[in-house]
Amino acid sequence: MRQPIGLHTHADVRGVEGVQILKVLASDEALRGEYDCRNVLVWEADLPGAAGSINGRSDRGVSIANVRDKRVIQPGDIVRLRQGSSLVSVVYRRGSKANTLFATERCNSRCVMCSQPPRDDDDSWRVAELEQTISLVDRNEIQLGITGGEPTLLGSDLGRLVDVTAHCLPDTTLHVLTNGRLFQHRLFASDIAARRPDHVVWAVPLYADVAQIHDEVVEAPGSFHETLDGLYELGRLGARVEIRVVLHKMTVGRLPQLASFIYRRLPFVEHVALMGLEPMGFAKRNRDRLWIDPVDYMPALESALFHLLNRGMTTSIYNLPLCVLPSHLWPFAEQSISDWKNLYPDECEGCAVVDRCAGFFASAGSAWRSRAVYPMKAEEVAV
Amino acid sequence: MTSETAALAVDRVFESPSSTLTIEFQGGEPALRFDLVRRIVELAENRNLTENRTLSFAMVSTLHHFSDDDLAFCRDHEIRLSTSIDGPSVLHDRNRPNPDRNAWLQTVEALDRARAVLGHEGVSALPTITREGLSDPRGLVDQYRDLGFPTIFLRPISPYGFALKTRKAIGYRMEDFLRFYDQALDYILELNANGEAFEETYAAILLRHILTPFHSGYLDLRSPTGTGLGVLVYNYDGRVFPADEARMAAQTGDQRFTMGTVADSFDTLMASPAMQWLMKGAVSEHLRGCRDCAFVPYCGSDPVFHATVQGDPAADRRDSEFCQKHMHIFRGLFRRVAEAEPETMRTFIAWAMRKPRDEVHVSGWVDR
Ligand code: SF4
Ligand code: SF4
Repeated sequence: MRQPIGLHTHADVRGVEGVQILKVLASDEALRGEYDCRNVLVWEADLPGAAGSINGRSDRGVSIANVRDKRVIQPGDIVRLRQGSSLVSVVYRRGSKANTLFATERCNSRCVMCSQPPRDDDDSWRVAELEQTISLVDRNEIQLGITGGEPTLLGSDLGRLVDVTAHCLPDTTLHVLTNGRLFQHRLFASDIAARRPDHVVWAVPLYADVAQIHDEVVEAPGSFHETLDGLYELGRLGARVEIRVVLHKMTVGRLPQLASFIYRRLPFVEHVALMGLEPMGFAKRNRDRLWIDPVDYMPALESALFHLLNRGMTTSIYNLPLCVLPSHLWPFAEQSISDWKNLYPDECEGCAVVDRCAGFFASAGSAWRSRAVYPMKAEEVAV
Repeated sequence: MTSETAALAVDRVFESPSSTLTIEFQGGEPALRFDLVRRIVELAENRNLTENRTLSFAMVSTLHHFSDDDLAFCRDHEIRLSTSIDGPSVLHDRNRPNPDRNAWLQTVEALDRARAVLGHEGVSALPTITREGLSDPRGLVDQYRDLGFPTIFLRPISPYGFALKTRKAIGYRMEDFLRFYDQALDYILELNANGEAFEETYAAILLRHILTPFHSGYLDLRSPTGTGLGVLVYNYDGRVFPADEARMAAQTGDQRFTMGTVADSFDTLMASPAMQWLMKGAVSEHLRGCRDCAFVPYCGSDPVFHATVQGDPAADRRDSEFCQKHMHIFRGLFRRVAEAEPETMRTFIAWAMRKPRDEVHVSGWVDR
């Protein structure tokens, strides 16, 4: 079994005041002075002026020693530490393609398959931490995600995050997962989405071409029309838009019609992602309403995909293993599962395509895996 | 056309609010006044240095009279050339008698010369389909294939511009054209199914309207109409018309189709009585016949046609040959979409999306 490397571990942590967000750097990189020394933890060395060290010898400032899972933290990463806690959380991992800032736990929808069930507590304290994190991200980072909850609930603070990113990371694209409903308000949309139209992608889920199904999936009456109004505001502003469709029993029935709807009504979207389900959060509890073996929706997936591709819409398949997809769909399948939760279970042993396969979410127990999963032989994949 | 008239026409062109402008030269034979063509192109290009519109040029020509210099000018200024080829040589020569009775041969030679300078894609052709031509749809299509054209545009001769006598000799009823059209389209679809990409442009235009949320840009199939709003015709004598067909109608003495002269401002031309009259038939969704028609989102209003043939730009479309033609072609295309034969759908999607047919995945969903 290939296990992912997690984002959390424990260690002997000393000298932390309150919450601190710090960049881990090898000493030579720390000396280059790209990041304010006071926010840098030096890797296996000590430097005067730095916030502290990790596996260093000094007792000055913050010190981290005896890291339990040594693979979790590497130079370049950003860690979050809390006074009195042994927990070390990696909030940014150098080289990962899936670095994501968690904007808020609050949400105005309640999607039946939400992998990150929302909570209503006020967590606006996160914004300051995110600003600090953004200031420490690698300057050459290509893309940074923002997720939630519903990031637009931050209101003007979301605009601040966009601005801070523009300032610290002028070349980085932000990829924001949002249900888009609040963008129905024209002033809000123009305030937020007009800031950096070229460098922010708004990734908006749409689950059907008809309101009834979409609203049922997101458990928020009226949200289909709100999301569409929001999408049109984004389109009007020339913002970059991606549509995300999560595939499950409630959405696959009208998937081809949805593809046609997207092309006809939203031809300005730059990317459509057709995504396998992540069995986390609400999804687990709603298995009966959601589970359908992906092989059983392949015909719908294929017609939707080809409908969009034929019409010049860039379309990808996310989160589905290659052995479940007919090989002519492979060119469109992405290794989309974030590395820290990406699992290749025992069934994958000896598979010839394990290196280009999306594999599974670590949370996908055998009840959530297709009956079609089997290790592919080299001669089967000679394409 | 005098240079003063030409200069005024260029002024009018740039008064249009459009971000894309195409200047097309027609005659007569514009190559016989290539000096004027040069002046206009240079004038417009200079003007565009400050205007920054997307500017392009086109010319309709027999191709016979171009010097090598002229062709080089066309190449350097990206003037797209379009010529007439009516079918196999016998037919073409009969349609276009010249003293040596070799119009076809001359055209084909001229085509080769023009292609050598402008590149293969730089020259297109359009057939004039006479009554005689109706008998041999395959022959016409094959002629275009033999000459290496990837497309053919099949449309009936227009009722304008011909004297009644000529019309009797070469004209036909719309039913006859549509039978010809169906045969030609069947044949073209068969070619495509066998792997040869060949486009019937009129069907491609309609399919773009049907299968995509976008318009083809084609002037005669717009609502509001392209007449005057999408095109203006500047005549050699300085008169301005809202469409080439209006110019022809005016030649028969009917001045209702004249907007004014190049000396009038764009706004004055647009507010002219001719425009006010024609615009009564500009919006299909509002016209008798069309407003209850299922095909109205894909069709057009063509008020000039209805003004010339039925005497009223807002005439009830149910009585018009324009409608008869479109109703028939729409029904044929929709029948094929409903049948969804995979190779036909591949061809249709390729035409509508303007992409090579081997890039189309057949099994894509088709809304019906
Ligand atoms: S068996 Fe191979 S193709 Fe199937 S999920 Fe595992 S790695 Fe992917
Ligand atoms: S087919 Fe006829 S009635 Fe229908 S929109 Fe076209 S012209 Fe009008």
